Amino acid sequence: MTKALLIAAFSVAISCAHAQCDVLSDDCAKAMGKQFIVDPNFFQAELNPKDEASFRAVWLKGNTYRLNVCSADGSACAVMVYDEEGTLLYDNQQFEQAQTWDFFAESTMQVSIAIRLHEQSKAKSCVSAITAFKK
Amino acid sequence: MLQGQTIVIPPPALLSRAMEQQAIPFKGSIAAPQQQSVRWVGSLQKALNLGVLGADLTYLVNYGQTPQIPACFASIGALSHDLDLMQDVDSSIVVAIENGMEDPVQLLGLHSEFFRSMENYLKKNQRGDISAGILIGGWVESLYLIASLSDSTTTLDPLLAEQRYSAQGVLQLAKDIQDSTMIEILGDLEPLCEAFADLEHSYSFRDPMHDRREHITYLRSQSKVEFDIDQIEQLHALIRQTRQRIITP
Repeated sequence: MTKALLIAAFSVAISCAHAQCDVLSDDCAKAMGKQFIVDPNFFQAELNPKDEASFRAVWLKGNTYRLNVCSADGSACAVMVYDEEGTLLYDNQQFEQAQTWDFFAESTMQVSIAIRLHEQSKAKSCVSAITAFKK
Repeated sequence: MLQGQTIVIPPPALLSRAMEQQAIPFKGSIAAPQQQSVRWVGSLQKALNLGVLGADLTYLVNYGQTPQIPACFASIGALSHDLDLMQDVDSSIVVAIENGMEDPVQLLGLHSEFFRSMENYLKKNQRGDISAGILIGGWVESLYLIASLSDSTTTLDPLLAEQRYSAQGVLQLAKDIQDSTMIEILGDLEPLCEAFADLEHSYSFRDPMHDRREHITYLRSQSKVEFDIDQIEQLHALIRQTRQRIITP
């Protein structure tokens, strides 16, 4: 009986985590504002505390991109942007943990975007990162 | 660290806008023949061609080709239904696109929302191969549109060469797909991505400038992809070949 309850509880936890992810990107995209066109391709992952996830993006020269990061637990994520050589270009810890930030690319760039849950997060949470370009 | 495979490559909407901004005349004949949509078989081939048609739609929208948009969108809708992707798409988006709009920017926003809804549905249902297929098809068609409009009077070749940055990520996505259709396509896609990788590329770091008030960072590093005419001609040929392989039923 106890085992069955544990399995049921585990299943509910898993489905809740998935449900968090299901709606997160919608909310994250809606927050982009009307000046931007959202890129249909986006990043999403379930992170454990202290985990870091990264994804690569190519930003075309002469464009302004908006990066919006959302976590299902509502806490502010740590967001870092690196260039192709691994040099840190942006760290949101230096900017009041901003979850939305714009980037203007003077030249076409390949960047890597790394995300961690808030340092005080204790549980696994879903994270979405949406990019958009300015109209 | 979780090293996600995810790559965010320039979306077709942005690439076709770059073409339109150079005042290159519209060339209707280069878009994929939509009547073929009923002949594509297999989920992956449909996904690849959904990406192709999505890129074509952004091309039509950016050039304000309103009369052609409903037919293209009808083919997209048919493929999306076949692939069972419409569950999360807000029907009001479909109606708005079908009815057409004078404002291309508004229409691009709806197009993006349509494809993002499908992407969200695919992620929820762990159908990564279909998602990757749409992305790859859209990328190849964007390259095809750029290459088809590029000649000595345009400056599209540097934009084409810069797709070098996306090529390796796209190739990796394609290699991760376990499907006989993709094995055939890789026969063309792999040489194409290798030709991109062969282009010389330089990068020089410059400190970014941060504007705290406006919440913007100016990325000032400079990169350049070098190419000669032979390399561009080779790319054009490989792009045509890869695209033909994808759209042939």
